[in-house]
Amino acid sequence: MFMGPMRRTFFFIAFLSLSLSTIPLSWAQEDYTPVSLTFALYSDGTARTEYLVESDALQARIEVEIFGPPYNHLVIRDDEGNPLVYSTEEANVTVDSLGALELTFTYLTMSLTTKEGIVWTFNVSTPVSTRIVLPEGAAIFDMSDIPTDIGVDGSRQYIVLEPGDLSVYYMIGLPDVESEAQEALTEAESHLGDLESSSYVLTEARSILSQAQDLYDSDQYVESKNRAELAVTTADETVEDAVNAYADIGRASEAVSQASSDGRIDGLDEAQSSLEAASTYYSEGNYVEARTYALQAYQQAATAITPKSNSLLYAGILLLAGLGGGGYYYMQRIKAKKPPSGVPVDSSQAREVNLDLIFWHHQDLRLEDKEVLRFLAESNGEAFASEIRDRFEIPRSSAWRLIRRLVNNEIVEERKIGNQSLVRVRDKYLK
Amino acid sequence: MGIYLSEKMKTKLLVLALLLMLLSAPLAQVVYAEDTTDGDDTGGGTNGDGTGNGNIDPLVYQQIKEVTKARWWNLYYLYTGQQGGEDDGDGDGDGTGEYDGPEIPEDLDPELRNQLMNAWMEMTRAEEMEGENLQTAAQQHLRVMRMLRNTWRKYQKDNPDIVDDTTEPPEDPVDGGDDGLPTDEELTEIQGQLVNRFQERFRDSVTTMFQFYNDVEDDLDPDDAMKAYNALYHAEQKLLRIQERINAGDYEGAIDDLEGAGNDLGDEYDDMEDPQSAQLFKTATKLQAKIEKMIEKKERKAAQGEDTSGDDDLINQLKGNIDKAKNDHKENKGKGNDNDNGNGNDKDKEKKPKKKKDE
Repeated sequence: MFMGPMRRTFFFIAFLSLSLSTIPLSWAQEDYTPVSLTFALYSDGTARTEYLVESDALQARIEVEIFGPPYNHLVIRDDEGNPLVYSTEEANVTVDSLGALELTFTYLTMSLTTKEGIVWTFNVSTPVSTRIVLPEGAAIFDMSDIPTDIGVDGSRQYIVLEPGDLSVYYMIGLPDVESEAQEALTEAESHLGDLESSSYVLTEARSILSQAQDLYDSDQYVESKNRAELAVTTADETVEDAVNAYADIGRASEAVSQASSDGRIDGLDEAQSSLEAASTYYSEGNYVEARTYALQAYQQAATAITPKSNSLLYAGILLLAGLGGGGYYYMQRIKAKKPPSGVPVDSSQAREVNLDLIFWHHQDLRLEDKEVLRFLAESNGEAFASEIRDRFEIPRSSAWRLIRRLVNNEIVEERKIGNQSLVRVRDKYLK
Repeated sequence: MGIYLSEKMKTKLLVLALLLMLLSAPLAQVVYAEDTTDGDDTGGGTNGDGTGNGNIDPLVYQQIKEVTKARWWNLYYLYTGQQGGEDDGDGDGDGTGEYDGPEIPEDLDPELRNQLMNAWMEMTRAEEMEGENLQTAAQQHLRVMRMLRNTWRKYQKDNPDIVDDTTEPPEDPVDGGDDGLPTDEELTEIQGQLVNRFQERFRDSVTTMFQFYNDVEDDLDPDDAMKAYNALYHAEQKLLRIQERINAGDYEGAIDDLEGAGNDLGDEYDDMEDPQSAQLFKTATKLQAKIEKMIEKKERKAAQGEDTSGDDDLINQLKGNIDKAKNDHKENKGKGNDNDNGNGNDKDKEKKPKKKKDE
């Protein structure tokens, strides 16, 4: 048939055409095939580049185009790790590959990054999938395309982009509020967990931490972080309260035991009730209340008395009534004659306080304790608690704690005169 | 109504069409390469038009989403100086009633305020798209990043002092010192070893290619057989001279000659009349060079007591590739011979040189 040779010609040329399009024209064309490319970026704009190519085992020398001249610290190694000799001309590197199957190019370049304000831009045109590792503390601001992978490598974020003209925008030093909040939450959780493992009950701190988590979940990162930090502070304060409450309960318990062994059982029931309440509050984690009741128990135990017989009781009542009446009269006189500058009531007898001796015995006194002692020294060694509060403009509870410290240190003693509490430097500290 | 064409004309047209195909075949690679590297400054990359139905890893999408959201909040705190946003959803700066993000103070620059709000709304839309097409949703997030970058440009322009305060980068030294850089002495020493080994492998490859030549010579046109033989013979002679250079310590000269020998071998193959035969020899020579390299690598690993099973597999695979190329060529030439109407040139075949492997 006439069409026979024509069909054969067609098939031959079609086969040749197909062969040429599918078989790599490797002898005349490129002697290498890009395999992988990684740019590790640093905060000064340097890109540490690692470029892996497959090379032709038959070639003694090949030319490879690399990214971002000028570059320095260029090292080229073959697949066995041997360093190879090369020469460069702009982006083209001629390597004595000597039949290497793979070549790895590593070098530094600063020409792929630019900076505008605090925003860095990394631009490169690549023939192969490219991994870009951002500097420490950098945050991605934008990128040219959807990455095929994105994540964190150690403490540095990375993205992997398909080959092409790639751009990545990033900022360094931008606070990562979300991460910071997350860290604060983790830290708070760990801290509270540690304390709870020591049997402390941290109800309030837990509640605050829960709020912090809620804030985080609703993307309010800064507030979440603040709350998480507050949870830690609250937990620490709670533990401090717990420690103090524990000590106060111990002291109260001793006082109750002492009163009991002394036979001072009048008023001891109340002390024991207060002590039990303190223990209950303590176990519930209400350390402030526990402390209040412990101190109350201590006072009640300290003031418990030995029971008297009836005749003596009547005499005592009469005596108390007399003393009360006398006391009232005395108070009225004091009020009438009270000097304006906090001069103590009982000023008939000069009482000169030896401050040096006090400070020498009690070197760990707080500044405010010393100030109050100086005030007492100026006030003939004694003053009402109300005068101390007025003088230093401190709340009742603070004054109470301060006086308790001085009483516990046996520097002062406290006496009830009517409704008032008279604080008086002990005789041993008088000159 | 058909157009009448003579058979001669039809033949010419067919040949012309096929020639065009032939000429355009290599261009296909170029066009493909251009497609894959397309991109523009506005961020439209290889799969970046948002209309494709390409799949995106949900984890990657999640990361993109989180990065976008984190940037929004970063800039929100930076622009507004807020220490905590009230996500009460009452912010609505442009009267559209759509904005449902944290309240943005009224005293913020109106343009920044609007841009922040728009970015938030776009971010919300991206999240709404998640169920339909993650790729599109991811593109939407990239758009939000671009919007945020624009807000930053404005903020930076308006607040150069504030921006300067934050420009101090953290300590992040580049670990690219001189440590690990090879010295010239090391390079020269290693180069000498590598040149020697490469020359040996090249020589072994050429020797093996003579065997290959013997295997395929009956499938070659007589002139091509001669050319292939000569190409290998010339390479062999050059390699002998190169050995002398190496022995004399002239490594640079040896590498120049090795490069020349390799190129000349390729050029001589190219001189063959039949491009398929030329390609066959080129491919086989390359594969053989790779086999020689793999054998060398395997022997070195074996000497160090390492597992070489993977290398064996690869070597066998490469050998299989050579055999396949050989068989394919034989089949094609067989078809071609059939088409020659039995006009074979037996006299020429008798003249083809024979070369033994150990020659």
